[in-house]
Amino acid sequence: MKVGGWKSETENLFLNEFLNCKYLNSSCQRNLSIEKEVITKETSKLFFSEKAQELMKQLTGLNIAKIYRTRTIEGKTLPSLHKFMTTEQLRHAQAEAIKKAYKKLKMPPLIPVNKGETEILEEVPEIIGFSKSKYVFTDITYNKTDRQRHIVVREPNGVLRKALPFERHRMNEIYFPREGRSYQHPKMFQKENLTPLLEKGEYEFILDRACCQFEPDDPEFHDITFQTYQKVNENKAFEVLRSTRHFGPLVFYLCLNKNLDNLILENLETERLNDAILSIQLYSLINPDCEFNTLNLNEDNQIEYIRSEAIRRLMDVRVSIDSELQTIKIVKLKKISVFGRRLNKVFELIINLFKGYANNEELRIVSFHPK
Amino acid sequence: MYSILRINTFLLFKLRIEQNVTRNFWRNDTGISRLINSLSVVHSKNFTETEQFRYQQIRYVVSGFFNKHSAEQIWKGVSSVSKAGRKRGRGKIRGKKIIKDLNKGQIIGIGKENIRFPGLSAPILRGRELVQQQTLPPDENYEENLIKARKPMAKLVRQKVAPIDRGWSGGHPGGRKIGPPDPIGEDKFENFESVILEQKPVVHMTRNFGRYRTVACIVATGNGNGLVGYSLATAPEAKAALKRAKNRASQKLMYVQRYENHTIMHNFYARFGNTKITAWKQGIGYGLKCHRILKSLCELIGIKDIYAKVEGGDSTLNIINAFLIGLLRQKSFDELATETHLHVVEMNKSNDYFPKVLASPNDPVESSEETPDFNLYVFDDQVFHWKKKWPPTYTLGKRWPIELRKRENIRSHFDTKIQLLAEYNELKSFLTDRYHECKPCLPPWSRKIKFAKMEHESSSES
Repeated sequence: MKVGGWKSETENLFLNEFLNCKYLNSSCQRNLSIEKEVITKETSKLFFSEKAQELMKQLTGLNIAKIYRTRTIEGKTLPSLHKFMTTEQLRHAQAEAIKKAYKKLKMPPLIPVNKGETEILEEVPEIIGFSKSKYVFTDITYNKTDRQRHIVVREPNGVLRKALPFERHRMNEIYFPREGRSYQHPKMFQKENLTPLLEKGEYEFILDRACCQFEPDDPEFHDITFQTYQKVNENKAFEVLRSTRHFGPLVFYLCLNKNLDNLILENLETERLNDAILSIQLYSLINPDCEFNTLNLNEDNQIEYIRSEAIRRLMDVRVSIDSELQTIKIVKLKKISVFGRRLNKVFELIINLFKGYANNEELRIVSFHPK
Repeated sequence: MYSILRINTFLLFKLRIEQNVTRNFWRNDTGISRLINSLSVVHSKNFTETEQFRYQQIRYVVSGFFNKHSAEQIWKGVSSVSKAGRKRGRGKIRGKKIIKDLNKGQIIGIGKENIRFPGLSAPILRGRELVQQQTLPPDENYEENLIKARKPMAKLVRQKVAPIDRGWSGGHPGGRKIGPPDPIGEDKFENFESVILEQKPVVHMTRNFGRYRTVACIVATGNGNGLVGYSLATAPEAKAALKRAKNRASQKLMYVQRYENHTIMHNFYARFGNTKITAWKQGIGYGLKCHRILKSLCELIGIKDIYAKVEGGDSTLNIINAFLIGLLRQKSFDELATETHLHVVEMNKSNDYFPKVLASPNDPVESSEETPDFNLYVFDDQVFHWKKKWPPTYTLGKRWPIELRKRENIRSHFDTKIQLLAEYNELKSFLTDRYHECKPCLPPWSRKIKFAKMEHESSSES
């Protein structure tokens, strides 16, 4: 199926990239599956940049009820403490709770994969064959993190080298076991177990456990998290990850892979225009070569521009389907300025029409005439 | 036995009428039939000799044990217990012999030998023909049916109660459920359930009857949603007492406050007489860990999670009173807030200690150096004294450190075993692939079996 009448008229606009019709049909989506972007040092730098962090924080939101929701252990809760508090004490406690909430929302870092290159420290040919086994030396002095700690390996051929990531994991886990991290990687991360979990929608659980188990530069960590992000994007389950520490990296990943359609769509469906604007800003930040950046707009103008442009792009559209050519035609209509609720209503109508088309899989003419 | 004898003498009389009675008919193993057998021999001689006495009844007076005593007397000799014995509790013992009615299951004219007697067990005339006496092939089920008919009378059998309806313990009725109270007019007690908390015999003396026995019982009823009532009633019969107590309990209902419909509002201490009860609020899924009376009451009220301790007196009524007093004296969070002019805040580890405001007063204190401790406030400034837990006695001796030293090398075997099973699905490690003999240690008995198998295999090969 082709999508026509859309690109030719609007190819100059940056919004083209995420407001195209990819979401219209699932077969379309499959064809346009994204290639995985590899996290480089530059992207990692971008991730940690102040502006990106700020945008991601704003996008994540702060739903206190969700962050502090009751977590049961086998359906059990613990007995609660009660306290009498003065107004001052209560205010202080609430402020502390909010501070703690921000701490809980600290995003896991996005850093390049450690490819397992080691550094040879010493070569002593005199001791070749001193033993059949390798010897691992671990520095277990206090006040050192798992990443700082010196771990070296003496090979039987006399080479002294720095330990590989998997060796580091094993030694760290043996000497400094951490709660929730296991010596062997859990079986739930194996492919045959991970897919049913993803289908079940246990995204937060998978991401939380992956954060606990793996180092952020572990290739397996990247694989699992990206797989989960893709699944979230496919199912439009953004609400599950909102107000969790994983939402920022999710949006960053989607922007990096130029696959923001579903998020924008979900934002507009749930009346989150502000969120849509923020994600577009993040998109333009990550993809500097997009059209939007060449307009040289200042901050206030930026938002206005995105708002008006989004509305224009969404509203000035007429959809028609040609049954003979089996194409969907989207024709630009007269400009109308609709804000807020009205916008969503109109947009909903369009989506519903398309949904009906996609579900029935029979061609019928759909047209939309705004007054 | 007497009755059998009677039947048989009667039969004898009847049989005299018939000519072709064979002696075999009376051949029987029992003593009585042997006795009768001998009689019949005597009789049959008479019978053949003198035909003129054909229709005349002849009485045989044989003096013996069974003739002298009535069945009642004979049975009494076997089954009775003396008055003194009855007082000592030998009156109703399970497995004791009880009086059987041996006539049960027997029909005149039908016996061990399957003979048809016209006029007795068969009609005299069939059509126009006279029916003749006839010996049929023996009825195999005759004895079985007799035993079956007599079996229910053999022993005292206790009525079976389903395990779920047995109450706290099997023997006593305490804890048994007896259904909702009876409806009053159109008012039905829907979702109500009643529990027997106590049932005991009580005695008082009267001028006319002397020792007068009645049954007293305490029954509580509730709807599992905050309503509960209890009552004590006495009656000569247990059934009537229970009914009276149950229906009276339904007239004395009271409402109990609960926290989120699963536990008490806050910890409390209550006392009635010498009975002291301390109750602690618990989280979801904790369960009812308290005295069995409190457990039953909690189930009726709808409290699902509680920990409570009963100290001092253990009288049923006092325990019920103390607990209900404690429950009814609970304060709502609004009341607590207005009393103290402070915010009531809940913090739970399950919510990562988020300060949840349960109630705020109209005029809260802005700031003060000291605020009262919530627990002390609800316990009326009393502190529960927890008894010290002593270490188990086996750890106090000289032997224990030696034992620990001996166990040192196997202390983590179980955990390791589970981990290996999870990792490799069998008891082996990463070394086993390289060195086959390197397998985790098996228990000695299984090693023996293994060696025996190996020896067997090697010997069979050679």
